[in-house]
Amino acid sequence: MSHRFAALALALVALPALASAQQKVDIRRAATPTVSVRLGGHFASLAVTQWAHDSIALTGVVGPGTRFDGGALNPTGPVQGMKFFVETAQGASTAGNRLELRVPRNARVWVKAGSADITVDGVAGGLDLNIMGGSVRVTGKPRELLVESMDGPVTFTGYTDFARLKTAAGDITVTEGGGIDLHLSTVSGAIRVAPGERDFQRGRFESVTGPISYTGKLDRGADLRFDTHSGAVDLRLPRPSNLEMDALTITGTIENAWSSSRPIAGREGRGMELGFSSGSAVARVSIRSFKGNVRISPAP
Amino acid sequence: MTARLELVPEDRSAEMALARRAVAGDEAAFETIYRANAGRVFGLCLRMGGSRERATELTQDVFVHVWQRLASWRGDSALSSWIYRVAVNLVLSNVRGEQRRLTHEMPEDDPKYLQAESRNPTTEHRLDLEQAIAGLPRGARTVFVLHDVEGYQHAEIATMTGTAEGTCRAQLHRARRLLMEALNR
Amino acid sequence: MMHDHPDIETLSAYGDGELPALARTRVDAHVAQCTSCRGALAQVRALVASAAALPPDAEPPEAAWQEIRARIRREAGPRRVRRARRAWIGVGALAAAAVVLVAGNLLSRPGRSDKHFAGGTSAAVAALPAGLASVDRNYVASIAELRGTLEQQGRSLSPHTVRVLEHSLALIDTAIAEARAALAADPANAALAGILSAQYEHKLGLLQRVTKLVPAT
Repeated sequence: MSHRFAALALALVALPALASAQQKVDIRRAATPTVSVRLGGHFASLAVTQWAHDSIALTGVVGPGTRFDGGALNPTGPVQGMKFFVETAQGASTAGNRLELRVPRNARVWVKAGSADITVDGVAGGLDLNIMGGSVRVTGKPRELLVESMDGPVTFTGYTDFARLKTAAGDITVTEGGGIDLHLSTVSGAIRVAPGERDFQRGRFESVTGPISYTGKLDRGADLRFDTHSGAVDLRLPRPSNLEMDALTITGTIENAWSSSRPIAGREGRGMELGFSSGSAVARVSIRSFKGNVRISPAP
Repeated sequence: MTARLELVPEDRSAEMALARRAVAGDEAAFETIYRANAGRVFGLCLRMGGSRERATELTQDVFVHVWQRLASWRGDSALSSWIYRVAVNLVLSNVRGEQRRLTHEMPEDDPKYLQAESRNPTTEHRLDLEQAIAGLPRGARTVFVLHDVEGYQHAEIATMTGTAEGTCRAQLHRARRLLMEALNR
Repeated sequence: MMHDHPDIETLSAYGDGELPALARTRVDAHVAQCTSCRGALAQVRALVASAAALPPDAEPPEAAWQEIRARIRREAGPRRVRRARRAWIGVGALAAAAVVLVAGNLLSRPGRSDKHFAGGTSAAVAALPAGLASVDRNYVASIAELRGTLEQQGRSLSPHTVRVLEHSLALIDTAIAEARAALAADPANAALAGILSAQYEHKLGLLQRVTKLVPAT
């Protein structure tokens, strides 16, 4: 089982800088089941999928003058960690750089790009995806999901132990999703959450101006917090549910069509407050809004 | 010759003075305590199955706890030991409520992962072992890290984890078997 | 007997001296005659030795200390804690000072603290800090430091990204201004203080995030 541990500051693939024509990329290495793969630079799209092989494969096409830098943790034997950086020629467009990455199911994948459309399907080891623009779409059950975007939308369908999804203007959508510890944060994007069968245990959903909507089940013992300055908060919850509600606005309104509890006027007659508890072993929902209006209603 | 009554070893009294200043609000004193102990605490959090992000959050929780409880440290053990116990307890109470965590990840900008020129087989073996530990099931990993890596005894581990001592022993042997299978693959 | 090879878990327990007497005697006898099991036992011992030799330390990110400092300041109150020389205040510390400002007022008259923003740490009794003005000054200093960093890297940001960033910052600044005005009119409002804190954290978090997202040049 001994590997040689050799100098690694080498360009794994230095594609000749051709004046024209796209170039095919095909890099394959045997890998450990929990290989870490790090991919950064200038590309327009990246599709990451898992497969049942103990290897990684980076394929696709790149534009002329594109260069790959990077290397493996260990140049012989199954790769434990691998890093790629895709660099275009000065002033060149990234539009022609389209990549596919296949990894073992329990791999960890880290990506950093300017504007790229990233899709990930089925990778369970862990994901750390960073874009300025473009989009991120993740399906599956990653153990950890970290996504940061400026205005690219982020969509997650699946289940995760731990998620931190943050944007400035991009929408964040979680559908048929569930997890243990989720934190979704945006300035002006829309947050839309629709849990699936697995529910959330701890959820924190924050915006400055973006609307926040949550439609679906509440796990017993779940702890969900909704914070906004001026975004509308729209909760659609099933009946019956064991629920402890604590909602407060500074100047916004609160409308409760879910139960018979009526909101009361807030401090010094401004804003509104709503608090009630039904059942035992409750889910706790807490809402704080400055001037965003809050509506709680039955799920369809 | 006059006998001097040494209540604490000389270096312990320096620690106590530092702790007193931190309790009194001296932020630089607390930062000194943090700098001296953060590596150890973060290493534990990382190895007990957290990603860097989780390990960072846990490390922060540990030191806020330490700051809150520092007045209760009386100097009967070394400050670093006391801080470490706080860390272990906090990490365990955190781990107990969670499902499988992320395996150990490649540090983001650690140049040694790409540029190391060492041909040291010890280094690569250590990385294999770290990777294999990270791949253990949670219960086995907890006991293995606490016993074989950190040096706790089974009785202590049983108390800390709230499990029977026999269970801890069984988990340890299971962990060693799984590790050997992983390393010999 | 030679074909009764003990499994790895048994060898592990044997190596730790945990087997009952009869079982230990049997394994003693077997290992004495079985090269392969002697080898396996040696491997178990080597594994344990390797584990004990693993380096205990790992370097946490510098941001960890900044967040710790912010949280302990939130508990102690700015006047109790003598600050280090650096002007940089971690995310939450400035917001936290605003919370302490209000908490101080709250403690002088009946009112409820806001569990929503408890965040797991209890607000300690604190003397009133110097005032919202000092919070603003420190906040402005931290923002300026981050913006300086961004401006140095400004060539790496596309015009589109700059527009998105500036637009987002403007939205947050409006929210901060509205929350501050409301807090000035109702300084005992714990929920309002928490809302203001959250906006400070949005702004600092956004600037830190975009600094991290900028491609290395």
